[in-house]
Amino acid sequence: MKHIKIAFTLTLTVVLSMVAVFLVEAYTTPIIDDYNERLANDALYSIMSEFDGTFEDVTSSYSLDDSSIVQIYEAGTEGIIYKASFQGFGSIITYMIGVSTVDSSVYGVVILEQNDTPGYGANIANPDYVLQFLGIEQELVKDGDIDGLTGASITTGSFFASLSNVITFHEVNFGGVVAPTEAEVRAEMMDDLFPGAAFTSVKDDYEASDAILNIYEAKIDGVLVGYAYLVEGVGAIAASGLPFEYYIGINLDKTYTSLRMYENNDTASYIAPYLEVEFGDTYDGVALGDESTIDGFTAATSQSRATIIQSTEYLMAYHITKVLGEVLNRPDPVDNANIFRAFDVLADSYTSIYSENVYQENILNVYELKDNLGTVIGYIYYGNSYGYGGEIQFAIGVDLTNTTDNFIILSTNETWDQAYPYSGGEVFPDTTWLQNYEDVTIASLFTDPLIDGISGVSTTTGTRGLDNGLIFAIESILQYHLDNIGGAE
Amino acid sequence: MARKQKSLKEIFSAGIFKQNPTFVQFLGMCPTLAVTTTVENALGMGAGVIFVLVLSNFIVSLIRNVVPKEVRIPIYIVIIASLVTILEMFMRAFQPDLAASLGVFLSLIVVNCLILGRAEAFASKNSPIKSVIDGLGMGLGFTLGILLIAVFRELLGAGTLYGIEIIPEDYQISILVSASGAFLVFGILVSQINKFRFKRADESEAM
Repeated sequence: MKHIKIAFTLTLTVVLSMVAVFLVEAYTTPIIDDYNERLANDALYSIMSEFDGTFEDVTSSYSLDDSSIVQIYEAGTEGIIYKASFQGFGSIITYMIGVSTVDSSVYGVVILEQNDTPGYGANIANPDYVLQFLGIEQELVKDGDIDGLTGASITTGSFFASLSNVITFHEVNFGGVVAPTEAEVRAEMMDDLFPGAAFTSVKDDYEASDAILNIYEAKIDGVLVGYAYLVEGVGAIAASGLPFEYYIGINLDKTYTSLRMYENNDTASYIAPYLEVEFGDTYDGVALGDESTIDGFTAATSQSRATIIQSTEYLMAYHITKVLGEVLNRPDPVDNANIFRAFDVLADSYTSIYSENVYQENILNVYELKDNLGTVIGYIYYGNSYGYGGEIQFAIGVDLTNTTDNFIILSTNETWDQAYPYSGGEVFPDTTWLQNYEDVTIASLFTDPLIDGISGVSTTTGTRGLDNGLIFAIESILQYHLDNIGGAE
Repeated sequence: MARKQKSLKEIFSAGIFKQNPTFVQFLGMCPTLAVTTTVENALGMGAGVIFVLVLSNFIVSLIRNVVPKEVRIPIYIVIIASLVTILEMFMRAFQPDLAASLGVFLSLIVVNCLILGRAEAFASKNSPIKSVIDGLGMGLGFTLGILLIAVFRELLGAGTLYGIEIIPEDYQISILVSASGAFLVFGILVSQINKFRFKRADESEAM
C-alpha cells in the first residue's frame, strides 16, 4: 500500500508539473519566437541598412557540418548574412556578419548574444569595436587582419577562427574570392618570376641536389628567357632546422627576376615579412653573387633572413657551376691585409684553390699558402655566417697538421652592447669565445666537450644542434677542410 | 519544554540578517560568484530566486502532510525544476536581455542549495504563510547579499553602476570583474560582516 502511495504521489507531482510547464510554454513560445524574429530582423537590417527587399532564410540548402555558421540569409543578389556562434572565454557568443556577393567587401558585424567578462571579452559587443568591419575586405577578415580585444585573447582567437570559417564558407559556396588550389598557387608564383612564360622541368638534365627540388626552363614563344628554381632551404628556428620552400627566377644575364616564398615553417612572426610579394620583388635585377645585399626587416627576423641568404647563395653557386657550367667567381679579399693574420707565418704567395674544389655555403674562398720555395705551408679559409646584425666575414688559418692558427673577424655589424649580462661584459668581436677556435687540432673540436654558443647572443655564436651562427659556419668549414683539402695530408 | 514559536517578523528578518544565505549560511555560492559582475545581473538573479523560493516554499508547505517521507527530495526537485523552467520561459518572453545576460545561471537556480535547503529545513515543517514569509526573507537576504557584492565589483571593476559610467577606465580595478575578483570581494565583505556580527555577539554575552 505504501509503495502505491509513493508511486502515485511521484506520478501526480510529475504530471502536474508537466501540465504547468506545458501551459506556460504554450503561452510564452509565440512571444519568444516573435521577439527572436524581431531581433534577427533588426540585426539583418542594421547590417544591410540599404537593402529594401526581404531576407530569405536559405540555411536548409547548405551543409553546415563542422562550421560555426548557424543560419544563412540571402539578401537578393546583393549579399549574404551569416549568423554564427562560437565559444568565447565566458560564454557562447552569437553574431551576424554580412558579406557582399557583388564585390569582396563586408557589410558589417552585429553581436547578438554574449555574456563574456565585462571590460574584457564583453567589449566584443562594443559598437566601436564592430565598427571596424564596415566595408572591410573579406580577405582581411579571413586572415584575422583585424583588431582583437585587449586582454581577451581566448575570445579574440575564437572570434577570428569563426570569422575565417565563415568567409571560407562564403568563398566556397557563393563564389566570392575562391581560395586557389595548391597547384594554382605554385603556378601563379612561377608566372610571377617570368610572366607569360611556359615552363619545362629540366631537373634530370643536371646533377642532383637535395636542396634543388626542381629546375625549369622558362620560355616565351619558344625562346629561353631564364631559369626558375624550386629550392628547399633549412630554417633557423628549430633543432636541425625546419625546411622552407621558395621559387626564384634567374635571367640569362645572371640577375634574379624575383623570389616567391611558397612555405616557411620558421616562427610565424619572424618569417611573415619574407612571405610577402614585396620582399620577393626586392630580388628583381639583383646580380648573382649579391644575395647578401637583400635587405631584411627587424633584427628579430635576421636569423630567418640569414637562412634565406645562405640558401640563395647555394643556389647561385649551383646555377653557375652546374647549370651554366662556368667557374664560380669567388670573392677575393686578399687585398684586405687582415686576412693574412689568419696564418702565423707570412707566406710568399696566396693562391685561390676554391674553384678546383666543391662549393660550400659559408666558404667564400680558400687560399693555399706557399713559402718562397713554392712549398705549401698552410691554408686560409675566407668564410661567412649570419649573426644578429647581419653578415659576419671571417678568416681562419689551418696548417698542414690540421691545426687551426688564428681566427680573424674581417667585417661585422654585431654589437653586444645590449647583451652584456650574457656575454660576460665582452663586446664582439673581442670575445674570448672566439679563441676556442685558435691553435687547436680540428679533430679535437669534434670531440667532447663540443663548443657551445653563448646563451643571449646565440644568433651570433649559434646554438649547437640548430646548424646556425658561427659554430656551424666554422665547424662546417673545418670539416670541409678535412674532407677535401687537408684530409689527404 | 516546547520551543517558542517564531513570529512572522522574526522569520522574515532572519533571512535578511541573522541567517543571511550569502554571508552567514554560504548557500548558493555558485551564482553568487558568477552573476555578480553587474548590479543588473544580481538584481535579475535575485528576483528569479525570490520567485522560485517563495513559490517552492509555498507548494512544499501545502503538500507537506501528504508527501511520503521517502520520496520528498525527488518531489521537491521536480517542483523546483518546474518552477525554474517556468521562470526561465517568462524571463525569455518578457525580459529577454536579462535572460540572455544571466545565461546558464538562470537554469542553475534548480540546483541552488538555498532553495532545496529551505524546502527541506523550513517549508516541510511549517505552515504555508510562514513558508512564504521565510522564502521572501531568505530570497531578499540572498538578493541583498549578491547585490552588495555586485555593487563593489561593477563599480570598482568595470567603473559603472547599473550600466552608467562613473569611474574612468584608468582608475578601474579590472581584476574585480574576473572570477578571482569575485572571491576577493566576497572574502573582504564576509570578513567585515563577521567582524560586526561577532562584536555584537561578544557585547550581548558580556551584558
